[in-house]
Amino acid sequence: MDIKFPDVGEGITEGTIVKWLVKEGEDIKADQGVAEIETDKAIVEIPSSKAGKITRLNGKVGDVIKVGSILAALALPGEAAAPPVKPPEVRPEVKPEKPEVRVPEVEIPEVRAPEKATGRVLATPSTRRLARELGADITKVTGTGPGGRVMDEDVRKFMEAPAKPPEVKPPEAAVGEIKLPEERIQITGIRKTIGERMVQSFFTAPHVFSMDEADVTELVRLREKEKKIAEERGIKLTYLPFIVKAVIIGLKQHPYLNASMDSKKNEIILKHYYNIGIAVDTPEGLIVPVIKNADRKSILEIAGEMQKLSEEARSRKIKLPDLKGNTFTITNIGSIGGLFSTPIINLPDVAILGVHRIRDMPVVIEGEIKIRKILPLVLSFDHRVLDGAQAARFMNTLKDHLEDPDLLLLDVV
Amino acid sequence: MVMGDIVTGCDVLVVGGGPAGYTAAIRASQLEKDVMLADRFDLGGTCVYRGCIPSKTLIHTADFIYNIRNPGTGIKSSVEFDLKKIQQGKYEVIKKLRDGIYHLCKKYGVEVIKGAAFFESSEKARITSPDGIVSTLKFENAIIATGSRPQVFQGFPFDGRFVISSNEALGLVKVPENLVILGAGYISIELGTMYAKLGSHVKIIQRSSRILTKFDPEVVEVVSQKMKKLGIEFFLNSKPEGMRIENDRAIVTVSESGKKTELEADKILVAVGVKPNSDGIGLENTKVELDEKGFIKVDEKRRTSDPKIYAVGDVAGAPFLAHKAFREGKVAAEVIGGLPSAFDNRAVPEVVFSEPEIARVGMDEETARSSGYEVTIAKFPFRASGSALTLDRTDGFVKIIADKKNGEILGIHIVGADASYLIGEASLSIEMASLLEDLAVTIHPHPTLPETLAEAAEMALGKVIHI
Repeated sequence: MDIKFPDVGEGITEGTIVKWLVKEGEDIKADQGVAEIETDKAIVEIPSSKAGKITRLNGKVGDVIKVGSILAALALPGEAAAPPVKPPEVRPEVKPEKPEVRVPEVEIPEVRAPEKATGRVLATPSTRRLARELGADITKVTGTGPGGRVMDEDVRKFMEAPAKPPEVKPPEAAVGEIKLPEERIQITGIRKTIGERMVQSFFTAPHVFSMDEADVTELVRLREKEKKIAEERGIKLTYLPFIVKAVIIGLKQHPYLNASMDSKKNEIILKHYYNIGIAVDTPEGLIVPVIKNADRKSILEIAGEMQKLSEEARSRKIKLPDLKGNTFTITNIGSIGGLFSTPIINLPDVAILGVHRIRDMPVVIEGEIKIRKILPLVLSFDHRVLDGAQAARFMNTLKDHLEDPDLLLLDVV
Repeated sequence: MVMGDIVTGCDVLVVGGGPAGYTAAIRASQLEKDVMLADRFDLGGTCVYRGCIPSKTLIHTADFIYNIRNPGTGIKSSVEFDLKKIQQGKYEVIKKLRDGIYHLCKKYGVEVIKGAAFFESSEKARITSPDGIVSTLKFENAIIATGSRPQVFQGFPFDGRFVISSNEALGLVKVPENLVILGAGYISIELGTMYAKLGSHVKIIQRSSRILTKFDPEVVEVVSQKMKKLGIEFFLNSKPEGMRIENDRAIVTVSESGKKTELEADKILVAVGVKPNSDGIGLENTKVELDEKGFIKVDEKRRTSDPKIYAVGDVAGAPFLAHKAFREGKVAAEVIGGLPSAFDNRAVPEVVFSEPEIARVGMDEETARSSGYEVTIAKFPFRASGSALTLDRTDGFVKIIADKKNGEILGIHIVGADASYLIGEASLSIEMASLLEDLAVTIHPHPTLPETLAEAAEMALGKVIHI
């Protein structure tokens, strides 16, 4: 039997072998992990579905392996030698744990999960087979052939999206012979994904940056007070959960910020669920865990979940479903430093909020200079979907709720 | 492998050796699976013994006799026949096919077991051979291909003597003088026509107002007319009330809006549909789910609700056709073998070997419209075909239904000589997602009947020459 690298989720076509968990000749149990594979989203452990003896490992640590290709050969009990190798092109019928975004009641129309294609499609049998092989839902592919016929190329293009960024050649060293003190680091894994995503976002969505400041003196006081209660429950209460709550109120009042754009159909998808991505800095790069249905969770629940997900993200144990389904993203630059930044939208979102370091600042209140706690905020938004006025109104709602945290209570669910 | 009361194992157990089952077994074996194929009887299933093969053999013979009796301008002829000998000839055909299937199974390494299978769990089945030896078989995957059997009609229990199913109707050694048929599906129409050509007085009782309700009414009308010319009587909107035996003859009472008629019959053929063979095979010990009519619920890959078990052929639902079963068998085997197969066919062609033949593939007008298509329809008559004229077979037409928007061919319906052959190209057109233009510009040899397909496509495009 072959142990294959299964389809671990949306869009992932390859991964790098990070670690072998078994040796050739080793007897393994069913569901025992065979290898750790780094995809562009996380490290996943690939288990064997059956017990047996590992007869061959295909590849070494660092090798890039395609989804569907054979990872290792397993001799089932009673089987003498390794069975013949099947062509690696073949997509296996393994049933991967489908990373599903669980959003009760609401359909997520834009998720490209390889589902059962039941609709009538204008395509030849071989093209339909190709779609199944690549895991494409052919009913969602736009045909460019005569009469709208779906061609092989259409299926391939569909699967390649998000589009690969243009290849950028490194500038040639001007001084030919002199060896410069340089180091070359191969771009793989998360770094590569971040690069592709950012290029796609920045060069598709016209970004506009809207900057503002919120006087969070009251919020600071409130958080100081509640911090202890949270600590007693083992939760580190930061400002972020409060900001998440305020953001959701803003999103509910300004639905075009909780949306995405379907440029193929020329439609804006307004989402009536609130999955908030939180950018987390990890040694390998930025990862964005998603707090699902954050509108239905309390501040403490959000804090707890955020803590758990960031730890998982930092230790690369986070599961793929926890990295998907974002409808709006918050990036907290403040914890490290900087005054203002211009974050890049995390597609398919249409806006991202950057929060910065809270500082004591002199503020004029009723003719007097007072020292207040000031939080700088930046909203980057997609100008195809939103205009400056909508963004500014959203920022006003957000500010109102951050400046008077009692208002957060009014929307408690 | 040793038989007997010990547990043996295989990768794939196929239950049922008809078109779906033996195809699945051979394909699975080709994909290097260790395959066992169990059938209570000989391999071949309904198709070989009680369906396609015997009926087409007899229909061909009846046509031949009829054509000799009606030879056309300038020919004089007469014919005598012996149905018993014709039946023997038919068995020769059946035997050849049966032996062929055994040969193929052997060639591809399929182990055939004669015996009835009973599932004890999702991984084990008990096989009881005809002489009572029980063996238990462990499998990784099973494919159920147990087929279907003729449906019983209340008040007309099969007795093998007067009340018969298609099984017995295909084995009669004497042409019944009076043949009453309940139902007007394709089996009724084919066997009714066949026996009428051999000299029976055929009466067809049908509950609804039309025969062959699954087919385009215009298409059916051509056949209806011809059947009436052959002396076949239709009792439409009629209900068979009951029967009794008098002087070694059956009397069937039929009522039409309260008016009762009595029909004399040597044989009563009940052809009112089929029932799935999903009972008595232990499916309750598995996770396999059935629909309300007892057919096994399957998905596109022919997986049942039990992750280890697949179902193909009649037992997995309509249409009850061998060619659909062949494809399903391959799909299930290939899915088990790890290939990206699915039963994703755009259409399954259906043929009635009537006089003249009917064949259809794809949507009919009504389905197309109710599916939201704005349709364009063209009908090219056989009488405008040079080939049909040379063959003196000018009854019938090709009707093509296409999407008005992009010219996508949605359905092709044919009534006329050799419709069963013509539908092959029509099926390919639909499967290949052809547009009207694709069919219209394809060069067809002249003078042949397939030209009518291209003509119909041109007609739908609004630029026909020959009409």
